[in-house]
Amino acid sequence: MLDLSAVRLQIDSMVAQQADGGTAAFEAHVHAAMAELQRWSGDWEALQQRLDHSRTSWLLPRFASGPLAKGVMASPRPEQLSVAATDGSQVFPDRHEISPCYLLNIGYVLLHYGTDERPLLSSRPRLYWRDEDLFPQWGGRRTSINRELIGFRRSLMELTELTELAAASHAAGHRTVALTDGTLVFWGLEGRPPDFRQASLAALESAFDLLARRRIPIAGYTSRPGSYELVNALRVGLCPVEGRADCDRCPWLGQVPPCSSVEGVSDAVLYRRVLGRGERSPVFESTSRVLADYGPHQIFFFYVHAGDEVGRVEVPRYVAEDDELLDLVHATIVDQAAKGGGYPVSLSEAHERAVVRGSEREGFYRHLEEVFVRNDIGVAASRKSLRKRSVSV
Amino acid sequence: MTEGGVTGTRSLESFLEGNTRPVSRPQAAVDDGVGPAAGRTGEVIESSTTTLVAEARHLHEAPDFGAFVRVESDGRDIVGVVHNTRTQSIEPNRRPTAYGKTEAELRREQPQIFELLRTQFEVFVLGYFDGTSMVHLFPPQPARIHSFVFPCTPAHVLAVTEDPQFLRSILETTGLPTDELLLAMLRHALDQRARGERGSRAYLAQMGSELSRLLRDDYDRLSSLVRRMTTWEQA
Amino acid sequence: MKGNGQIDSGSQRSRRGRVGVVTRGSLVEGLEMKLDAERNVEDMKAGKFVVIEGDKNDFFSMVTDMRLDATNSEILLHPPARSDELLRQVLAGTGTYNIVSLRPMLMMSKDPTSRDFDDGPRPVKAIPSHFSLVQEAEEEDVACIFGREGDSEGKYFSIGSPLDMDTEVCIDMMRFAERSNGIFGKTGTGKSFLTRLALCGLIHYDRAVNLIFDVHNEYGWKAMKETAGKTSSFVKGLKQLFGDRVAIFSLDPKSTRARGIQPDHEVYITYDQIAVEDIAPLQDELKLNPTAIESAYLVYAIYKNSWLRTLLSLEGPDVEEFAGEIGAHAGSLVALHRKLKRLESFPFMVKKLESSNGDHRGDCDREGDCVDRIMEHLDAGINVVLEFGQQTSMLCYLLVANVLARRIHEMYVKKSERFYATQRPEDQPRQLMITIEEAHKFLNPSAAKQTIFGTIAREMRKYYVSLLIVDQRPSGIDDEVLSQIGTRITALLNDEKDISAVLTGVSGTEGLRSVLASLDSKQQALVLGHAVPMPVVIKTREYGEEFYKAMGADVEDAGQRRQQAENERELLFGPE
Repeated sequence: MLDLSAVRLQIDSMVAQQADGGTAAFEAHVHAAMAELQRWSGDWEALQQRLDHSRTSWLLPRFASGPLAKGVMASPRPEQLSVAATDGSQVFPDRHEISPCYLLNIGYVLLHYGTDERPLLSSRPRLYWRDEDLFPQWGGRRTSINRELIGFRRSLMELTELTELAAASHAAGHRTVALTDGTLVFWGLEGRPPDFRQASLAALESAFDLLARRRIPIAGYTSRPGSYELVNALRVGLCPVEGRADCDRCPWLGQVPPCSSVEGVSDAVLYRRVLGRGERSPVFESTSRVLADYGPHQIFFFYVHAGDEVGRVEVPRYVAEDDELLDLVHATIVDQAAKGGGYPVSLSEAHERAVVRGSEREGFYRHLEEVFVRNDIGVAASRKSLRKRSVSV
Repeated sequence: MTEGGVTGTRSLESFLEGNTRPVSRPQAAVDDGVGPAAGRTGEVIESSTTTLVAEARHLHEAPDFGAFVRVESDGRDIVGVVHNTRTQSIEPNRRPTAYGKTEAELRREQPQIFELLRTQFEVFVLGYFDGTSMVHLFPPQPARIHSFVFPCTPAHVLAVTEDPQFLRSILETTGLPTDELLLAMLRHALDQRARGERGSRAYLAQMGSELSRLLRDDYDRLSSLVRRMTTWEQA
Repeated sequence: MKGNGQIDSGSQRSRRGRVGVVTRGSLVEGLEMKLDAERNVEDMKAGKFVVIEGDKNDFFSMVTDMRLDATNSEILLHPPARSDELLRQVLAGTGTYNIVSLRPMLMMSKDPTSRDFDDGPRPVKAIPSHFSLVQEAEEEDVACIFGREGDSEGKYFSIGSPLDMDTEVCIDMMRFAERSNGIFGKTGTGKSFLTRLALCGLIHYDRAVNLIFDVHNEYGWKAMKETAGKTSSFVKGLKQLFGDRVAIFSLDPKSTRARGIQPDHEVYITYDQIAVEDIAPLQDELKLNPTAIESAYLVYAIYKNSWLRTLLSLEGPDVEEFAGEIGAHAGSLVALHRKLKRLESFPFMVKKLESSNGDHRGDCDREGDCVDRIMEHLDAGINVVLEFGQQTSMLCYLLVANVLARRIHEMYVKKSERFYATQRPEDQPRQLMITIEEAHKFLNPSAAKQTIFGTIAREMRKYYVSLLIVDQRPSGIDDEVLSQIGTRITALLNDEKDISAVLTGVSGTEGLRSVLASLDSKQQALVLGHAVPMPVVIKTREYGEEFYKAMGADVEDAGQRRQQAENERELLFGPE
């Protein structure tokens, strides 16, 4: 049991300290970052060159367009447009519960704008319980499934199912934009066995291939992005070392380096000061290491002022390099965010479809247990789990 | 672990497969004009001996307040009256908010909100049909969940309202908007009769007399009810 | 309910005239019925005849009272407006309702196999169960109780119909003739019509021979019908209807002839025919004191039958001397003498029948004692109407009626005694019914002990003589006499005392009081008593052409009609 009032006091003092100590210093950093952005705005290609030659421990972007400190306004959304979106959620196997199995629930949303056609809102749960589901073999080793793997599997499925939904909508004659929640960069692939990476990337590639072929734009939307790629680039620009920055040989080792004047400022914070409502930033190319295996479908991103916040939008290359599709994604995101009160409405609906609430999760386990009992299969629910449900006084 | 590549050949309907509770489905998949479901106005989603809750087939298209409905269940026709209708979000934690737009605008630009609204109506059970004759008793078994709800035919309405017993059922049940409901029911009953040969006046007088017996201790209420009935005649 | 026929008639009835259901009541106080909502309370008149269908019996009952009632006093505090028609309709029979009081009069078994069934209607000894249906009475019900005219025994005579029905209500003439009867009603309510009806019934069925003291000249020949408005019309008298079976005697032949009637006989009374008993009832009229009557007895003790002639032959101053002679009180004898002198002014008073032969007493033959003549007629079964003509003074009426009735009664007593002795059927006297109007004059508590009528009323049918009492003030009649009255036919009475008097000796009168007081002032009457099984309110039978035909006087021959026309012209314009 948590003594909430005791916690509350501590939270209050924490917030007070952060506000006092944080704000003034933070504002100075933002100010510095803004100055840097302005400095490089028109000269972004020069900065790019410097980036190309620098070695840093940070993730850097590749500038695909400029100027850096100027927003691009969205064109109006086409009158008739359909937006497909998916989201997923999972119920993890619980060691305390009776049966090793897990559940993925994908929510589907297809909203048609500018017509009176009824939308499609649905969800589909999938139960995984087979041996190969629970103990997959990768790199010749039988591994036990874990939360991380399930989360990865879920993300991949969101993408492939979104692709199928958008394709179906497209086939039905709708001009469709596909939206998913979060990033298109599957960094989780890093460090996985090669066969695992290969299988996942094949699925990913086939999805992007299909969408590219049909010119269906897809975009991943990240709300409140904590990414620092642009700011990292500005730090490289700030480094007084001539020619190229090399953090491994940083002369300020053990001291405060000059680049730290912009530390702690995220890209979104920066663009929040730059972009007007509905405007997007220039497009950047992500240089995430995992993308090396993405083949033709490199991931690009831009920031967009969605009304309440600046969000990050990721698109594959075929979208980034097609002005019409890029513009459509931009317009769609802005429109969706306006409809959704700051967050794309299709994504929040998809989340609503996908989410498994606590009570539902409980119901799921309870039903599982009942069926097992009915079929006279030993119920191995642990004592701890039972105690959680009913505590005698 | 992955299911392999995407196909790009699935239909929109396939996203509803294996889905017992589609929140919304494309237009084409909805209407089935023939078969036992034809002509239904709703579907039972809560059932007890005395009351049913049904979900209207279409948003905002519940039967009128005081209308007589019929539920086919266990091979008998249970008859009841609609006494409350509400339209609300299907999700307990999501409440409708004001958009400042007309419904037509909203249907074009926020189509999903209409899919999250449900019209439900509550039905008070009056009795059931034993063959063709009306039995003013609660049915031996309540209507089954997911039974279809149909509007009563004029012949049914005549049969149900011939015996003033239904007035007593309503008056003796708490938790109903009794007087309003009585008047609405009588109005529906009268509508079926005005077209027939029986004088509507004679019918009102007969029902009024029964009310007078039932409300013998509450003359104020009786006279207010009857005066409101009087205005229909003049209309 | 075993008999099919009964069930059928029962169900038939319920289809027709259901009026309500019995809700409460008692045998003593009568029953209450809740009137059906669709019935209008205004149709439930007092006196209406209804049938309560019990489980085992039908109860023939009379409506005696109605009451408006409401379940909730709120309704009465806030009555629906005139325009709230639906509300009023809705309340009728539910929130507001009508209670009708019923008095069961007779009951009759519904089960044809039960022993009681054959007895027909019996007095009420039970009450129907809760919620028994109340039906309007039908013709069969009325016939079942009151019989139907034209029965084999010839005893039922229709005197009218129940309220709101067309069927006939009959009285049993045999029973009617057996006892003294009364016809009551305040002035102008049709007493003489009722009387005429009753007399017609008696004559037509030959149940009694009648002697009618027709003080208002209403029964013998035609009489004026009392109608409001100017078109007065005439109705036929008994002579016109029954011809030879009726003889008209007249005290005032001139007047009788003046009305176009030839009296069959003139009536003269000699002083010797008047007894002291005949004078005694005149005390009030003559304002005699009791000692005057004692004086008269003193005169009688010496002069016997010629006492009156002797007394009246004296002139003023001689009377005191005469008093001294017979030992009477001079003052009272003088008063007696002075007052009896009034009798000499009556034209029908004669000293002696022989001596007054043929002179100024008119052109009709006088053949001996007129009482003998009347008796002859009565013996022959001819009904006698005694017309008083212009001699309508109460003194005259009382005197003549007393004198004649006393003597006829004496003769009947003798006849009866002979019959009791011989027991030969041919010696059995005919039942005689004497009709007297203004009966309270003879039968008031003081007179009733003195007059012959009091005697007749009290001794009932022992001597084959009974009375038909016609009166507007029954409260003036001695209770003892009233209680002996067999059948009462009474039109509207307003006075509480009169109503009580009429109902003297009748059980369960509470309901009947209200009925009596609410009768129409014309052509309605309550009949109760010996000749009817139960009290019933009737609309009296129409006394007109149809009735004349029924009485057998259908076709008047042409000569008779011409004669009548001539008489009427003479009446209007004088002799040609």
